[in-house]
Amino acid sequence: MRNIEIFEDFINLGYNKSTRLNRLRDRVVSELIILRSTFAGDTVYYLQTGCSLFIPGDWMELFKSLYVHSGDRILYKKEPEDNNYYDNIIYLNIKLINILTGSKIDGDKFLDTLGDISNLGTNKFRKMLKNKYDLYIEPFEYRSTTKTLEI
Amino acid sequence: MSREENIQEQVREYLEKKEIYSHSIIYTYEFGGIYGLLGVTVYNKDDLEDLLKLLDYDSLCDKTGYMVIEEYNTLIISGSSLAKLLTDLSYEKH
Repeated sequence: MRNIEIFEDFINLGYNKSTRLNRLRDRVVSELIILRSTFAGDTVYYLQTGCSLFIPGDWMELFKSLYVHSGDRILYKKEPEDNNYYDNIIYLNIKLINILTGSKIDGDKFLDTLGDISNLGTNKFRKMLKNKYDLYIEPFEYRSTTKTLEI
Repeated sequence: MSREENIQEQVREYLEKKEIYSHSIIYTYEFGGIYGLLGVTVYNKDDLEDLLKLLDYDSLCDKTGYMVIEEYNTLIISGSSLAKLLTDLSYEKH
């Protein structure tokens, strides 16, 4: 079964956005890099450069729920063999949640996975969610002193 | 608002009063020991110089706790230097 099919099964069960508690939690990713979780979402802050990468809360919640529902099945298969965008983006996000479930974040793995997700981009997946399931999720946002990019 | 966000906001207001506009202000307890760590990134070199002037950085004999990253116009403060800044801020507020 492909990752996109597992995802479709999951979402057709009636995925509901859960109510998130207002919280702030910082976790160390690497030297002078933190991951800050708030109500709005998770943000990676690079303290040395002042850059940040925002991951919307709805995105994280969606994949946390999928992780609980089918995370093992998706991770078990390892990386999808073909270059299917949807299978890959689902796999990478489940891998990201898996890295975050530990008490300590493996910084290199986390940043590599986030880099891979950024390379693929989230727009195609977000568009599919909107068109197929009427689910709107904000984009990832990279912010530096000179530019703000939607990923 | 969490304590971290509250401190960030106080620092932002303090700097804006001095006409120093920051791109990013992050306060966290994850680094820097008991006082935490504050990272301030401003938009350009002039703003960074103004920020350092404001903190009297050049005349400090002991620069422990300060990390200036000129390449990114960033100042990172921790330890007793940060504790002093936070104390100054709370006086400024009252």
